Amino acid sequence: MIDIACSDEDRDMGAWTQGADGHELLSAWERQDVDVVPVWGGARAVAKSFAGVVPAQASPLGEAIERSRSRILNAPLDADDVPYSEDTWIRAMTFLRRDLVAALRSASVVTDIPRILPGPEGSIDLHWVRPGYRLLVNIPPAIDLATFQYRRDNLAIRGEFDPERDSILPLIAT
Amino acid sequence: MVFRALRDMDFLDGEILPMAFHLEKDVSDGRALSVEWDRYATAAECLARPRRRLAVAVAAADVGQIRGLPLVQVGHRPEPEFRAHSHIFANPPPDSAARTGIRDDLHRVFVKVEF
Repeated sequence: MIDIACSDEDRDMGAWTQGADGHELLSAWERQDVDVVPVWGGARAVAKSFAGVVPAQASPLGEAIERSRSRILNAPLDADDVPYSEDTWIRAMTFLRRDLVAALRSASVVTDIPRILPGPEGSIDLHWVRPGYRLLVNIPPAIDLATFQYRRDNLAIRGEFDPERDSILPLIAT
Repeated sequence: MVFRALRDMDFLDGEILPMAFHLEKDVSDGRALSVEWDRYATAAECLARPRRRLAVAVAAADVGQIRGLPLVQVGHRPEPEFRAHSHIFANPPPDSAARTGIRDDLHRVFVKVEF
């Protein structure tokens, strides 16, 4: 496990990586050229560092993540709905940021920020709907495997993966 | 055409979420989603129908489009006081990855009805 610290200077550099539609997605820290993909000791540890690493006003990805937190955790529920837990949100956001960075590094087609949405039964959806492709990733609570479907025209790829270990966004580009 | 009643939580920023098309019912059809056949109900009637969860909007999709999707079927399942009742269903019950795919496919073909 490797921890990569982020300084205020890193966060304020203002240099961003561009997404598929030309807007900037990631901070200098997120796109830094390192030999390892950042890995954290666990979801809880990520949560403690999240606000500092991806400041809400500094990166579109950080803004999207921050905005999703209250929307999902405070979502209105009916009596028989499974509530959304912070652990699940952390699990989903940790996967999203790690894999989006990996995708950008591999020049993947999936380089834009998804909609971060409440999913069924306490899960969280990451949804890309773009000209030419759609991708829905579902991150369930607890230790269950995540699932995805990628669709391009009449081709559909779906499967399960471990969001704490596996990477799917770079693979989808190939 | 079939209608699907949507609740408040099925929207974010005015857009329908994939969650709205979760095959939540475990029934003899396998896993199913309740919809209403437009032969026996209008979108307005679908919206107004008393139900366990309050509906705030309605989405509609062409039955032929749904039948063109992989893994799902559409069937009329009338109930004594609810003749329009129908199921979009997958049988045998789909695994979790297939359920994710079905949600995205249904999200692609359903559109919100404007009253």
